[in-house]
Amino acid sequence: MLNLVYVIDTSLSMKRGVSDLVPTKLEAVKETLTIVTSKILSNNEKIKIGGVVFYGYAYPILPLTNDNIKIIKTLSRLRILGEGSAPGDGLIEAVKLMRRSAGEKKAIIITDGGFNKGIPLNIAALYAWNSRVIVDIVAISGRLKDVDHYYMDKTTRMCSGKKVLVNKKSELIKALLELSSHLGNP
Amino acid sequence: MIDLVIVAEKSKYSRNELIHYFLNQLVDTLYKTPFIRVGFIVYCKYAVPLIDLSTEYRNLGKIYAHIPILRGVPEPAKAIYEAVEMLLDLEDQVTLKKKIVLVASFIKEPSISLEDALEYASMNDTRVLIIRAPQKKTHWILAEYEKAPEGIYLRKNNIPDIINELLK
Repeated sequence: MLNLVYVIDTSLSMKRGVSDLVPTKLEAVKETLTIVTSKILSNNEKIKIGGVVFYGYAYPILPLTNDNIKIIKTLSRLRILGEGSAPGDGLIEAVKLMRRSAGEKKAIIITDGGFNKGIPLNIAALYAWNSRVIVDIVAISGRLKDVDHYYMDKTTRMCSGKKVLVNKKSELIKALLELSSHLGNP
Repeated sequence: MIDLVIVAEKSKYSRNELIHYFLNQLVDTLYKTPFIRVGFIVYCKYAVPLIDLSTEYRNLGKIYAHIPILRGVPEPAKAIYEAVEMLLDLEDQVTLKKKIVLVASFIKEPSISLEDALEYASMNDTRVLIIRAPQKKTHWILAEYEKAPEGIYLRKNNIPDIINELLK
């Protein structure tokens, strides 16, 4: 069984568009995830998908499931939640979602950076690493700072994951499809 | 099976080297004790779960040492709620006792009520042992713990006694 949790940035900056990620980055992520989750569920019966959102805080929005209708409904309700960006809190919530599940575990963080709240991502990564959760990051470029890259690089290195930078919808789809379909090496 | 969550402060107010020493001693003893699962949470302003309840907790001391000193005013109540959540989430038929060890400085008064958090733990059949490891004189602690055995001061020479108390 593969457990996969998307950790989605719903901070204010995701309200802006960039390149062809329009009308907002969040809308583009919603649209892309709807395509990607439908595709990977149809290709793999042994996968369960969950969801967590983060801004200045973080909380789960979707328990692990392979019910595509439930996933699409949840994605359609995603909205901008507020100021701040606490991806570390988001990662911890994702690991907690997978706490009781057997099998391989992966969290994919989708963000445009600006990390400024909550538990530092590299400390949350210790919990993911201890819980044998692979962590990938899809980072939408444009407003990423050096410090964001520092945290993302430390996290993906520690948790055997990958960091992929995207700037267009085609890159976003490609990255999410690839990362959601391959586990990597825990 | 005893489920034990160790909750340790890492701040500029706590004696971090002594806590690290205590954790290593504790892990050495616990590893010789059968039927015990251990979880680990480090906290200051935030509570960070680091090891979920399991029998693989050998690196706990190393992990504590690896964490940088966390900023802000320590909020032990947040860590207690996190520990209770971990105990409830991972509870199963083999769980007989649930315990939390809280290692705290109690130098700054937190904004979230520790009393309420301890009451919440108690309502969930969880015993909390409180150990104080401040850098300097404690200015704040719940009155009822001032002299109670649950408010033990951590010193190198009383670590065996604390561990015995914990395993009772």
